[in-house]
Amino acid sequence: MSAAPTHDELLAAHAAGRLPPPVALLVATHLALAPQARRRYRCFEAAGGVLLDRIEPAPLAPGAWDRVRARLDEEGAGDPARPEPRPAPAGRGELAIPRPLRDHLPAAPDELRWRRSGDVSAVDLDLSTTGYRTTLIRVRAGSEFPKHGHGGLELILTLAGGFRDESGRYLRGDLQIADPETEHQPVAEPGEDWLWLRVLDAPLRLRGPLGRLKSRFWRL
Amino acid sequence: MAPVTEEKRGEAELAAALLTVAERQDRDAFALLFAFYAPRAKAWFRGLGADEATAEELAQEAMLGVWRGAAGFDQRRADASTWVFTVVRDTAVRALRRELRPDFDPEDPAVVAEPYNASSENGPAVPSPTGSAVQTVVERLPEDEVKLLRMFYQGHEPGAGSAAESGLSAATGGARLRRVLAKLRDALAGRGG
Repeated sequence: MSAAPTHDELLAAHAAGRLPPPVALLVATHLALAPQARRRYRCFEAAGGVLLDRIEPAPLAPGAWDRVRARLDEEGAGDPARPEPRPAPAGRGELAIPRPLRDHLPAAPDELRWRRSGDVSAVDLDLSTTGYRTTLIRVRAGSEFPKHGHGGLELILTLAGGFRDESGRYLRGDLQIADPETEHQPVAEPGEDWLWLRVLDAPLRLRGPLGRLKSRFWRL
Repeated sequence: MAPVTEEKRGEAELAAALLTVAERQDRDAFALLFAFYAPRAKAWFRGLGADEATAEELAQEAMLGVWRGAAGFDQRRADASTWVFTVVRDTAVRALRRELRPDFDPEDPAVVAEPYNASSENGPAVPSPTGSAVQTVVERLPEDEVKLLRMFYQGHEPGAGSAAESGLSAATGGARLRRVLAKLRDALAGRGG
């Protein structure tokens, strides 16, 4: 029996604010690239609104209104502090990484410290969340990514180009959810290099000395 | 005179109050919103596992978030309760998990836009149909499915007493929940588009 969440569950959990930061980052970036997913997502946010509407209200402590009114007096004129959107990165060609992922890159994509192994380059993103590994990966167009199974869940968000594996073909904006049972052999589509964001729900048992003995894949 | 908890308010009234707060920081409009949403926000935070005092404080924070951020309310994108829900949610993520929630930015030039049609963001300023479509779906759900949905949204494992630790595996909710989510997701389609 698969423990993998469905696409709906990921979107609804994100609407509810329940996802761990690396997964939330991946799902939010997916939403930026996938209008159809955004439509579904709005339904799940609306469901949150209905749940809030219908919940049995909890009585407030005496003086609650006075306290908030005092805070309003301190606030003065409300100033919605929305940060200025950063301009899109000057990447090559069509490559444009949306927010929020762009905000979490330490540098522009071409200036990141990529580790390279054959047709594959990778750079880990530090999101300070134990139990997860977040990696930006680029596979040369037409090349294979080493066959692998994983001890945990794997989320794959395609940012540019695309790939094929046993389950189908995935292009920019597509999100693949692979469960622990899956072994797959992704092959990058011809044309544009396949750029993707990977979040691994990495079981702790793979760390330490045993982790260092793992295949070449694990270091990518 | 302190506002009493409001039992019921219609979407139109709540949306109008939000717009009035956005336009001119109107305190009477805000009092209406506070009376309706503060006790519900507090109940939501209690459901997330916050104790009485924390839930009370977070309800205040959430309502201040409504006050400050009202200019961000866009009727075309969401109805009033949906928007307030996002403020409540973000308050919870910030406070209980001490992190910022990553969100996509609709103004980001890198966002892939939807194909233009009359109901898109670029269309005329009519209220979003999503809210009422979803509300209709939820109204038709049996009470135990509504509860199942709320438990999922609040991070409870089925049968557990308190909110479970967040983890990717906790995003799975079982077959029954998946059917509920499918009904919600198809709400717009069900209305005939």
